Amino acid sequence: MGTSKHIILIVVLMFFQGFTAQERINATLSSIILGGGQQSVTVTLDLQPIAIVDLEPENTNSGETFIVEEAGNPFPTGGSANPGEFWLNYTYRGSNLETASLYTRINQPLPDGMVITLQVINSASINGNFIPNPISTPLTLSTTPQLIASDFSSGYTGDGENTGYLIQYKISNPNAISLPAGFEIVFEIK
Amino acid sequence: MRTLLLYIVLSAPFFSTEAQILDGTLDVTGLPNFMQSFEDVIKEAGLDDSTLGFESEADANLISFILNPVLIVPSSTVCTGNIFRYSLYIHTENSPENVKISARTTSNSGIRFPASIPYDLLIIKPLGPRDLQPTNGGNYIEIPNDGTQAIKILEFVGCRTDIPIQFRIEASALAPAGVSNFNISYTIVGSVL
Repeated sequence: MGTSKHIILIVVLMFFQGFTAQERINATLSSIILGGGQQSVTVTLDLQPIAIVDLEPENTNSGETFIVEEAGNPFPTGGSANPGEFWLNYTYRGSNLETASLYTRINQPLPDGMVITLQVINSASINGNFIPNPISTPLTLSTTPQLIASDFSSGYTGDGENTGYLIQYKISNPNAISLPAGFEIVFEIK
Repeated sequence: MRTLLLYIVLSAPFFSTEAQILDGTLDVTGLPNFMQSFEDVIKEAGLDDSTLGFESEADANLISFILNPVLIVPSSTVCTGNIFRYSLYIHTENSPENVKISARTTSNSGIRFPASIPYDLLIIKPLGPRDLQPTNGGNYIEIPNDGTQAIKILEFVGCRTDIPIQFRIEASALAPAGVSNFNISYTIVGSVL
């Protein structure tokens, strides 16, 4: 390639550079403020704390609680590939880098003889930004909040299936008793 | 030919005054308060809060730049006889991590100062009309939190007042909740071209 072609190429590249690059300056150099000026204003930013939990696949009745109306039936996981399992997503923003924990409980006692256990069996992140810290032992649900994941900092798990915490549940109901009306399993961050 | 000569004579004062750029004063009014409301918070668990974002008022800051008086000559007269091109750059100082702050204005926003001058009547205006062009077509531009990388958000010709600046805040869930303070710095640079 001749010298003239090189020059033309450089000119063309500079031309396109001018179109694509955002103009920037070093504003810390007072010498650049020729015929201009500089001024700062103080801004206040106030961000809300966030603590929201969701179960996937989506429950049609509620985003934050499972509603099971008939013991012995699987949770209404809306056609999950693995009945008996669901994914838990959360987004959490704490104040002053405060950590939080994730708890589960039932809103009313189970009928005599019925036992529901939950267990975190996996965690994953798709478009999320969180550090998994699950309690991996099986939990027998009661009206007392029990820890699912402890002491995590602000983050988000990613939305949908295959991201967040994979939770497996098992129901033992030897007496074939129905669940009470309004029964819920509650997940909450606090 | 006579018309051309007349034009050159009439426009000579404007060309001559551009030979040396004059000092002016940048004035920024408004103390933006970026308060996230409950409605501004992400509702779908698992998503980052930055996917939603929220905006300030359209005129969270008002920017004015007029040339300084020269002896007994008031700014309005100095601005009438001296036309320069100005670029406005912006950056933040000590803004929180994981918070993206962007700014914008609209095309030809603000008010010419003075509103009408002989320069506006020139057939060929040396620096073009006394208009304002936002960078990026008036779309939001991310503000760097680095004074060495201040970014241009608009340029205008001639003195101008009350240029509104609007902000967009995209705060990740990783940014701490609560109140924090930081600075937004404006730098205006004049040019004779």
